[in-house]
Parts: sequence; C-alpha cells; structure tokens
Amino acid sequence: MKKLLKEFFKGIGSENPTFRLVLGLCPTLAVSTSVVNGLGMGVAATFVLIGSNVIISLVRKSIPDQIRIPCFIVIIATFVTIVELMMKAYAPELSKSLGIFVPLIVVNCIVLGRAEAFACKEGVFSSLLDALGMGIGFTLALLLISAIREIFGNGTLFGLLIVKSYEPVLYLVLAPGALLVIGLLIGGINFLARKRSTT
Amino acid sequence: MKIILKFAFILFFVNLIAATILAGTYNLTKSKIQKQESMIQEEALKQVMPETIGNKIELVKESDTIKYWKVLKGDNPEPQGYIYIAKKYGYSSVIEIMVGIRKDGTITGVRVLSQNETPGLGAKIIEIVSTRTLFSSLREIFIKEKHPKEILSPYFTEQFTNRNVKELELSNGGIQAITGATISSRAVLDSIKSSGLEILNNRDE
Amino acid sequence: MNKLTVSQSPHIKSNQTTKNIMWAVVWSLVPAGIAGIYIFGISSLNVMILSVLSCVFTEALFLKFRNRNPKTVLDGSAILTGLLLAYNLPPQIPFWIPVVGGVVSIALGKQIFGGLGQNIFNPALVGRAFLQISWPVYMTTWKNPRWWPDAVSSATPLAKETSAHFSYMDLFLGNRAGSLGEVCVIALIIGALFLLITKIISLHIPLSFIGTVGVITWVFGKDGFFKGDFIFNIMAGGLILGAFFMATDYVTSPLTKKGKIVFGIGCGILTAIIRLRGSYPEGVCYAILFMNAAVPIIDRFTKTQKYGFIKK
Repeated sequence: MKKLLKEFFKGIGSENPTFRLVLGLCPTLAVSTSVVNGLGMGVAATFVLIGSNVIISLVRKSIPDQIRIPCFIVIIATFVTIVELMMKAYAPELSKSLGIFVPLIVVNCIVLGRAEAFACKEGVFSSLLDALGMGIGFTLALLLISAIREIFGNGTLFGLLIVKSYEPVLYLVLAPGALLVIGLLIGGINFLARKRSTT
Repeated sequence: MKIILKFAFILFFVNLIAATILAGTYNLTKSKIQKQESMIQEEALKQVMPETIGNKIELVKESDTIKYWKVLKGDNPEPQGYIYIAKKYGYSSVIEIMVGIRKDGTITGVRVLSQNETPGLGAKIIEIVSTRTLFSSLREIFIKEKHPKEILSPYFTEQFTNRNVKELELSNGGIQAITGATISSRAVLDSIKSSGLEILNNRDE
Repeated sequence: MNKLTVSQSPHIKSNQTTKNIMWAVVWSLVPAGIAGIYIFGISSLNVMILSVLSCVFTEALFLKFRNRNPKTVLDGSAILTGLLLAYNLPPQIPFWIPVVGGVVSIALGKQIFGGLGQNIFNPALVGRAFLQISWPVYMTTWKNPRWWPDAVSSATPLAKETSAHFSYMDLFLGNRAGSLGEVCVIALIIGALFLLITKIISLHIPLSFIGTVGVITWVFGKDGFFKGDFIFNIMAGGLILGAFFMATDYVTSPLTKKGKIVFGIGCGILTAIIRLRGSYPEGVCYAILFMNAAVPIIDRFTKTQKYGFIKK
C-alpha cells in the first residue's frame, strides 16, 4: 500500500515532470498563456497518460522487446487522436486555442517516458497510479505557470478581469515570458529543495 | 525468418485494434464536428449581417484578391446587401476581415477573422473591453445577482457599424485609430473601404 | 579584489578600479542628461532619478540577500545601469515604468547571473527590452521638445510612417522627439570624447558599429542603391548612445581588438536590418543584446597568442 501511494505522489512532488524531471516543456511553454488552456492541456495529457500506461502495462508481456517502441507509439497516438476528435466535437474553442499542441502530445516525452520507464515493467494498478500522479503533477505545474502568466501578463483569471486599472506585463504572456516564468520557478524550487536537504 | 513474421503479426494486430477504435471514434464524432464548424461560420455571417436584411447568401466571386457573397431576401432577385472578406497586410501580418454592407454601402458589421499583429498594439483591433471582473462574476454566482448581458464585440471594429464605406476616414470624428497602432488601424480601414467600393462599383456597371 | 583587468595578457598593473571606471562613465553621461532635461523639461529628471533609485535599491536588496559586501552598491555600476536605462526611455513615461525597468535590469539582467562581471547581457538593455515588449504603447509615445507647439507626438525621426523632416542640425542638437538621453548628439559626443581621452573605452566598437550602420543604410537605404541617407541614420535614434556607452560595456563585449571589431560590425548589421526591414523603427537595443549573446564565441575565435608562446 505504502509503495502504491509513493508511486502516486512522486509525480506530484519529488518527480514532478515539469519542475523536477523537466520533461514535456514544449507544450508547457506554448500553451500556458491562460489558465483555461493550461487546464485543457493538462487534462488531455493526463487522459492520454492514463490510457497509454494502463494499456501498455496490460500488454507488456505479449510485446517483444525489439518492437516495443513502435507499439507504444501506436497506442499513444490512438489515445491522442481520440482526445483530439473529442475536443473538436465538444470543446471547439479549446481545440482551436490549443491548436497543434494536442496532436503533439504523441511526442510528449512524459507519455513515452512513463511507458518506457514504468508501465512496461510494472503491474496495471501501479501503472495507473503512476500515470495519475504524473498527469496531476503535470496539470498542477501547467496551472501554476499559466496562472502566473495570465494574472500578471493579461490581468485576468479564467478570462475575467481582476483589477480594471492594471497595466498587464505583456512580456509574460508572450513566448519569452514562458521561459522566464518556468526558469524562475525551477530556480526557486531547486533553492527550496537544496535548503531542505541541508537542514 | 520466423521471428520477423511474428513481429510483423504483432505490429499488424496492434495497428488493427488501434485503427478499429479510431474508426469508431471518428464515426461517432464526425457529425458533431461538422456541425460545430458550420456553426462557427454561420455565427460569423450572422454577426456581420442581421437576418432582417436578408436570409440567403450566394457566392458571387472568389479570386485571390476578393471573395464576396450577395445577400438575398425571400424571392427578391435584387441583392439587399453584400458580405465580403477583405485582406490587407497590417503591421506584421495579413489582417483578414469579414464585412457586411447594405446595398447603399452602410456597414452592418465587421469581424476580424484572422490577424497576427503585435500584442498590446496592433492586436487591439480585436480587443474586447469587458465591464465584468472576476469579483463581479463570483458575486453573480454566489449572490445570484444578475448583470445586464453585455454585447461582446471588439470596440475598434464596432466603430464601423452604421457608417458608409464610401465615407470611412481615420479622424477624430470618424474612425478612431488605436493609440500607437496607426498602421494596423489604417490597414483595417483601407481594406474595408477599397474592397467595399470595388463591390459597389462592380454592381453599378 | 577591486582590480579590474579587461584585456588579454600580458597584464599591466594600473590604478584603474571598477569604481573609477563606472563613475567616469556616469560623469561622461552627464552632458546628455542635462541636454535631455533642457529639451524635454523636468520630467526627464524625474525619470532619471526614479530609474537610478530603483536600480540602486534592487542592487542593495540582492547584495544583502546574497550576503555580499553591501558597500559595493555604490561602486557606480548600479547607478550607471539606472542612468542608461533612463536614457532609453521616453521622457514623459508614467513613473512606475522606470521603477519596474530598474528592478528588471538589476534582478534579471545582472544579479540572477551572479552580479557584476557575470552578466551575459547589458543590464540596462535587458530592462529596456522588457519594458518595450510589456508596455509598447508607453514605450513608443514620445514627447516633443518643450518649445514645440504640440506636446506629444507619436513618431521619432526613424518611425516608418512619419512624414516629418528633420535637418541634420536638428538631429545634431537634439531638436526632435525621442528617448531622453539619445536625442542630443553633441552632448553624447562630448561624453564619448571624455571616455576616449581617458582611455576608458577604445574606438574599435563604436567606429565599426556606426560605420557598418552607415554603409548598409547608404547602400540599401529607402531612396535606392547607394543613395540612402546615412548621416540621418547615424544621428537619428539611439545609435550614438548605444555605440559609445552601451556596446562598449566591459562585461558584455569581447576582450580583443579583433573581437571588438567583429562585435561592432555584428551590432551594425543587425541594427541596419531591424531599421530597414524589421517591424520596429529602432534596432540598436536588440542588436546589442543579440551580439552580447555572441560574445563568448567571438572571444573564443579571436583568442590571441599567449605572450612568449612560440608556434610550432
């Protein structure tokens, strides 16, 4: 039980895909311009992660080692396409603002990384928890980054104005702002982690 | 040899299942996606041309430089107005605008379809100023206080409504340019004006 | 600790310290500041004071936080950054813009890299680029000289849509709209001469920078091949300020003479391209920042032979 809990929480904390493993930065940088986008991307990636991790863990014994990567990619791509079609049908606005980054979940290193490093070795249940933890960790990281960028860079939260006379820092909502925010957050987290490990 | 056949079979099998699942999803979502797409177009058309003027549109001409429809009402063959897509290079991108005009040239609505101008400057051609804030929205949810519904349309393009394309001008009494983005503002105005005039002149010939 | 060596070996000991050099540059900027105050009125002084105070305060905060000697806050480097930042701002800008700019310059432009000597980019220009991207309306609304009839104009001489004509004399004396420290060419040249005579800066970077801009705008100017108005292009905008006072920053420019010339030419090419083809009217700031990033590689390829080392 303790081990399972550990598998779940490591994705949120000590092995957070964005801040600790620094994986999947391309969508993180590109879509974290607003909280809605960040949340949409996070949920989509979590869905793919859970689906692919569970399926890969289920079939791990019947897939020979030599052809595992193509098989994983096909499984991941299937889930991504399902997400893409669903999003187009039921959330067209979100699908339009996320654009190319939904299909690009296929090549998100977090998804393939978890398949390779975890799901193809472990049981179904712990793979599910691993995917859930990683997905939530990724979503939380995206939410944090996109909230900072949207609040300060656009003066809004969930598209709603916060203070009327605020002059937004456009820099943060543009591409360089993503790099700056992620850099400062990783720096801050490293600083805190180092401080904790020395005391 | 045997092992290659085995690999091929496994790959084939994985792909077969994936393809089946995808085909199913595609069929399930196909009609819904199409409906969404046509809804977006319809919404844009409705926004630039109220239904009281005409309820049928017919493509008149489509070329590299201009694309426009005539708007018909009922069985009357005389067009009541036109809808056109104007394009012009602004400050850093091509600005694509859908415009609706009555037959006398009065603009019924303007909508920017695509643009990639400088954020904070030229991109203000699509900026919407909302009077709602996060706090007022929260209040609405919790206290159930009702706010009058806002018309959410960008203030810059809203200026064009009910003006005649022939008389468009960037000035204090006319269309107010966006501060610091004169070039983008002028590009929008020029493309609306020149394409509009072209259509009206074609009709007269 | 305070001894600064800014060239390749062999090294000669001298009495120059970081503090002396920084303060000399600050003094050399004074004429341009006075000109800015004279041309645009007292609001220029406010911008300068706010910007400098903001830089010094941020520097002090970081030094305390990083447990460094708090005395180095007055080594002149923070004051110089603040002053240069102010010189790059429109004179009537809202008060909070130089304040934010100062914090960004020192915090993100300098201290985050490890303080003076460690920064890759010119701190003042980092601040300016941040402000330019964040609040483009304020950063591109200029004030006219105070003796002109209408107070606020929206175009500098370099702006692409402007039809106003400026004589060379207007540009030379500063009778035009622009950033508060860049308009008066004569005041800048007086300061630059002081730096050249005291040998704080050498002519390599400014000359190759300005020369390249001149040649390119002459050849490819908007009036046709070999007909461009290069005198106008050299004096309009922030080229003189950038070439003499910002591109020559010791920390962010190459060490060798050859490297300095490469650096200057690079800055010149980028400035000319941004001015002629880019969507911004002025390119000096971004050109210098770009070339700052290239300094390590320039240094690497222009390394000189070690003294006394015989090539086999």
